[in-house]
Amino acid sequence: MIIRHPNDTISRRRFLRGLGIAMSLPWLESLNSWGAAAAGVSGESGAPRRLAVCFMGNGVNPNHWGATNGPGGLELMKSLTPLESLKDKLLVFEGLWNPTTVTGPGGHYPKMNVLSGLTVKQTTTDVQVGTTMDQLVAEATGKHTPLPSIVLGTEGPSYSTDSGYTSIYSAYISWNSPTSPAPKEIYPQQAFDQLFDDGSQRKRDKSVLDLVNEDAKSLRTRLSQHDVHKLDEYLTSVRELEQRIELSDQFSKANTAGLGWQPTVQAPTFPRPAAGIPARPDEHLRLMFEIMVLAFQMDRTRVATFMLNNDLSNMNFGLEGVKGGIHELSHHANDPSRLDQYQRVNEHHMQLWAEALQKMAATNEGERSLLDNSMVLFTSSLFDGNAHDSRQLPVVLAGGGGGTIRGGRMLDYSKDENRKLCRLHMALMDRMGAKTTHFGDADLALSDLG
Amino acid sequence: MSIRSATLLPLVLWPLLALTIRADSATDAWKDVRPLLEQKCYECHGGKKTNGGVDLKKLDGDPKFATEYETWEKVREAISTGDMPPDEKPPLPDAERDKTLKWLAHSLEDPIRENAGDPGTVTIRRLTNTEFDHTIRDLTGLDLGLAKDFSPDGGGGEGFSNVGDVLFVSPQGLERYFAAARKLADYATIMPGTGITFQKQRIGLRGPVQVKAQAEQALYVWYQKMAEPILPKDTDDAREADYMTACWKWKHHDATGAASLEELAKDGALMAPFLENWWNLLTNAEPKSRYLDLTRVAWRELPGPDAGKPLEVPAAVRERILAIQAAQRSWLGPYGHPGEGTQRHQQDSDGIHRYDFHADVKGKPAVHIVLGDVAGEDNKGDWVTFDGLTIQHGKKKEAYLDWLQARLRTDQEALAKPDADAAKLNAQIAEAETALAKFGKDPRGGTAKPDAIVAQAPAVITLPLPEDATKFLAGGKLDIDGPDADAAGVQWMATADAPPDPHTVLPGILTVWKRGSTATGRLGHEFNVMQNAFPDEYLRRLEEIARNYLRGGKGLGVYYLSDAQLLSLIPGGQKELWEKMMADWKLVKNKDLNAPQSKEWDAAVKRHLTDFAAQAWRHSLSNDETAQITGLYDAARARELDRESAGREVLVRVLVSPNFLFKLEDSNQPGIQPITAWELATRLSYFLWASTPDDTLRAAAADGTLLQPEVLARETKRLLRDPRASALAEEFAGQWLKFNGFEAKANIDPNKFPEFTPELRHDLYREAVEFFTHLIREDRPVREIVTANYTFLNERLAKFYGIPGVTGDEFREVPVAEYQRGGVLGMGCLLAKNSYPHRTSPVLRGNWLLTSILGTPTPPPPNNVPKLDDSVSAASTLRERLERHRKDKACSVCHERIDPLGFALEGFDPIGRVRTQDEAGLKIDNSGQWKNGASFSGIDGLRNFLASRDKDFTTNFCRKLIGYALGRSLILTDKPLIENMRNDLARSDDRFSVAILDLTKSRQFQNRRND
Repeated sequence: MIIRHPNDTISRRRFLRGLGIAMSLPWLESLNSWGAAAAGVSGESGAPRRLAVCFMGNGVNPNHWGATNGPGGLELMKSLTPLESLKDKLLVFEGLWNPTTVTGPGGHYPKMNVLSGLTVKQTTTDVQVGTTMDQLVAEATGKHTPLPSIVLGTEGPSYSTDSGYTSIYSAYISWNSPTSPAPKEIYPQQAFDQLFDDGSQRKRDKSVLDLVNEDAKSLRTRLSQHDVHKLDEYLTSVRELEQRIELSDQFSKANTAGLGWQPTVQAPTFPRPAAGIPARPDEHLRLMFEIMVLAFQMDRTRVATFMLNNDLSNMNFGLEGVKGGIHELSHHANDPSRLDQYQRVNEHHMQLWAEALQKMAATNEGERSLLDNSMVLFTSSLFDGNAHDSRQLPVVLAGGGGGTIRGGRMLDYSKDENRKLCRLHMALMDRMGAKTTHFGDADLALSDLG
Repeated sequence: MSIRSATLLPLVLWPLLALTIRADSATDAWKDVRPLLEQKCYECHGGKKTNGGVDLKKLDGDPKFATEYETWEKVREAISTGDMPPDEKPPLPDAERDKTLKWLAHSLEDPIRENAGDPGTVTIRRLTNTEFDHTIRDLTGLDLGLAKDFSPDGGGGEGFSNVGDVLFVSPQGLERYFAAARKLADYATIMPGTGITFQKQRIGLRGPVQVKAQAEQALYVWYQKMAEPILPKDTDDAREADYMTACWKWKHHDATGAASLEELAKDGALMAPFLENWWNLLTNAEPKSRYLDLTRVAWRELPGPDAGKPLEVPAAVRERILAIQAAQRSWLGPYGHPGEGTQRHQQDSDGIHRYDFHADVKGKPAVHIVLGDVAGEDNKGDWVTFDGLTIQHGKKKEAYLDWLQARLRTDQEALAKPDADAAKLNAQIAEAETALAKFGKDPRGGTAKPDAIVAQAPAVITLPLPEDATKFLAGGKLDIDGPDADAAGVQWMATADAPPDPHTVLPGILTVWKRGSTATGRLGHEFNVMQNAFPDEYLRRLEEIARNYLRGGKGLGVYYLSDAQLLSLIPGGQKELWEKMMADWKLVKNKDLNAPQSKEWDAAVKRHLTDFAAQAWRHSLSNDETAQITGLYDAARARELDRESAGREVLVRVLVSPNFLFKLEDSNQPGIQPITAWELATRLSYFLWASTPDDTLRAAAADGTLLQPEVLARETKRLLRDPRASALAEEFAGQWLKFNGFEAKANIDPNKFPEFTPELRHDLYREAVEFFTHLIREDRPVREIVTANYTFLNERLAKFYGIPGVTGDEFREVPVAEYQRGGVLGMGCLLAKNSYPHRTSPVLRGNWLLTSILGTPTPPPPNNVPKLDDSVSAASTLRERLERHRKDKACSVCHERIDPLGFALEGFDPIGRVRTQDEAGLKIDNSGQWKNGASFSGIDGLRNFLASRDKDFTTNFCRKLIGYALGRSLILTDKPLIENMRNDLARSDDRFSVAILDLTKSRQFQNRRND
């Protein structure tokens, strides 16, 4: 009598259609708010828009997070000061939330739905949240790039269950179907190879792929509906790999023909990273940021998510004067010394993010910089980590969205009755060419970003 | 109430299944009972009052057993124990009470009992990363750790990674599988006979020459490895005399009564094949070799047994045999110094050089230069010039000619003296003149150097010696310029004893010939015959056997073993391997293959590939599957890939197939279905080994016997004793108690604890793994997980713990009760794991004890943690801070149970060392007390406390084991299995295997529920 989501026994693509999400499929692009030619593209140069979501676990220090609109423009609070030089390109949001997160037991797991807004199913086995906005965007933009999206992180899931939830939830913000998280790269070398290899290995696999596809199909008749659903993950993967092989052929032809918009960076600007996990966490984070920025610079993908750490992570940066992991410090109990350390870690995260944004700002793509063509969101699943409080979330958006976003402002929705985070997601999806009339728990996009 | 509810399984962890079946009948009966509850209970448990958190009124319309099971359990317990109604209220009338209890029993217990062992819904399971690595290791013999490149797995179900729902497949994941399979395939050699072998090194693309070389190399190495323990070493006594004596007994078996050569070998502790070889050697005249005749003719000429004592070896025979042995050994060089004798140097003889020789002559009147003609070899051209004749007196050297001439002069002068012994002097003078006459002339005419003697073989040249001479030295050189030099073949030597006959072969003496001459060909061959019969060195003996695959099994040597002889002496299984290697050789040695050979080769490779697929896929292949495998091979061959590359395509395909990557179970028949023998084998091996079934288990699956309870039990026990059962320690215990992964990453700040090195981290992890591996494989009592008075340590870890008397890197069992260690409570990895990077955390440790050990977790912290009083942060010690924190009622409910347990372990620092002071230098207080409950202090007190709650512990252990075995969360209908396991454990001194056996024979384990 396990009750399954009505849609989770069908494949991901069918699922997306079945859910009735108005995906902007190629022939529907004229419906996009940004005009047929401009869907997912910014301006005359034809440079594409990019979407990134950066996440950190365990919330923020509420005393120093946020910004105000002062007479001279945006005034950043202490935690955001590393972004000072970029503040004209920032929107700092106040009051956005996912209403579903304040029910459900436990301070962490039920809140791991930042990019879908749907309920995190309380289960230790048949996990379910919702397909996330970045993956829906990737569906739309994926055909233009070798990879539809890149999902980055620094930590894998742990083997535990708690309060009736599996810890899987704390390790993923991107889900490519309601029941499966998008695979996350935590090894820099593999993320690099994913993005920048020439695809020759994959071509060899084509004939084998055809056969295993047959395998899986014939197996379907031996399995129950329940198990077929799991096998379909495999089948979908086979199909996507096949498509990627075809795509990589097309892209190599397009590159030699020199047609269309060409990225200004044509080859990796740093060497292939060493195998394994870098010894120092901040080294690891910097490297993953670099990979993300390079992927955008080279237009290998237009959608990225990056979990700087998992929720409930106890990552320890070994910063001067900081004793303890971030989850431990987030429960500072208002102890001044611990709060101070927590604050330093918050600022350190912002510092690393700012460095990546600066690289993007320094990448010229014709009429605009890469940052101006992009939308880079930073968020967490909690606001006040100490109190497990998700009645609002920390949300900062950097970048110009290809001329569609006017930065340098704090947007306060805290008094707004409809302050759902999914409204922001809808606004971003629209700009990426994945307009929808309904997403998560929202059906109205935020309209005042521009 | 808190204690009692703690023994119940937490509500939220019981997804409900079978109970709903009873919902209708329960609801009908409900109408009977409801009025009584309304009348007696709602006052305190409904509407306005909900004492004890129990609100029965909200269940007024529908008892909702499916979701409110725990509530009704509480109600039943309260009524049956008489706790409710409370003393101040009137009790329930007996009839009413019984009716209610009966109804509750019916509603709560019956459905569980009737549906006991429901397999539950289990999603097909992909191999976890660990299972993938173990499976590849056991399939290929290679442990490449390929899964380290995969995305890490998470945990689901009861907290284990092997739960199907949380084992995802993605395009990136599939790509990693491809990369791993490609990498692995490159390590494979695929041969017609030996089949698919994964080599230690990457092989990659190979041409026919390399393939042939590999087959040859493999055979060569195999022969050497097999012969190695059998052949006499250089330092061994080869016992030639004993072999010859046995042959003599066999020759005269009519008299000696010898039954057979085999018997003689047995009696004399000789190697039967070698004795057989000796017999053939001694009794055959072929192949011709005058060198060998020295042994075999001499042996043949031995006298027979004494008529009077036929069973004894006559002394004369023994003596002569020893002489033959000495003569034979004289070719080889000193024992233990192989390759120093004439036998090795013979090949360098070229006639160009002058060869020195010498003899010890102490106390002897004369020396004889013996010039042999190699046993009647035509003596044409056998001319040798001897010069440099020298005698040595102690250390003083003198030219022989000088001494001879001096003695002659002295003798002649003495003869002139009146009192001379004329007879003696004249004899000496004649002797000297005869000797002198040999010098300085060439008997063929002409002269030679004054100090040289020129002679033709056969000859013995006798020269007188001074009384004090100790050594005679000289050199000889063959005349290779003469007209008959091509016929020359001679041996020479000097001796002061009776000279050997120069018409025979001189044992141990170099034969000198002119290189490339006709004599060299003839004599060289005969010499080689002897050399091959008695290889002078262990390595040469090995070599002789190792070339068998080329020679087709012929050898003359006494230490030679024919294939048949060798195969009779080596361990089982090796014969099959040899046959396979010879099958390889038969095909790969050909430069060009004819059509039948080509077909044979392809057919063999395809057979190996389908065998591999059947093994990798853990079932017998269907016809379609076989056709697919062979079809892919043929297609690859058609693309002009070589056989090995085509085979590798198939390997990749096999290893990325869902048949390999998933533990598939047929599930298209609805309802509860028994699983097949293959599926059971797979469940069993992945449960106990986290790996694929081995040959024995596969055999029991293939013939279906695994479905018999006694076979299943036998296999279960066998697997548990196997070293691979350490997977249960790392995966089951490691994930249950959460030390899995500690080896790779620990949450300790290396700046604060520089002594926490990677080696130490590794040792701490190993301690836990070794402990559990021991517990599992030695079938120790489950309670020892908590109560053991031992642990596993190596020297480094023992030092870290401050425990003396452990030396070396090896982990071994150490009694540690007096050092605050033993079992999981004292394990550094778990103490560190439940600490923060810089400090200990009684909350983390206490919560771990409550959750992982006792299985009685507290509810999660509230959604919005209340703001703490400022006094909390002002507290000076951790204990004080936690105590103040507990003043808040919302916190205290749980922390009253969590914190005291953790305090008991405060005597261990964040990296698991015993300590008496905290960081601030304050004395450690390691006492804890549950509110209104037990108190305990330190690890020993805590251990006793936990032992007193062993029902909780055992229940939790069983629960976790079931969750791990089945790959799902527990459901209510698993309760009888837990009961069963607990009872059987109690009856059998808590032996680990009892729980496992109960599980593997359970209905859950042997069936599946399909939707």
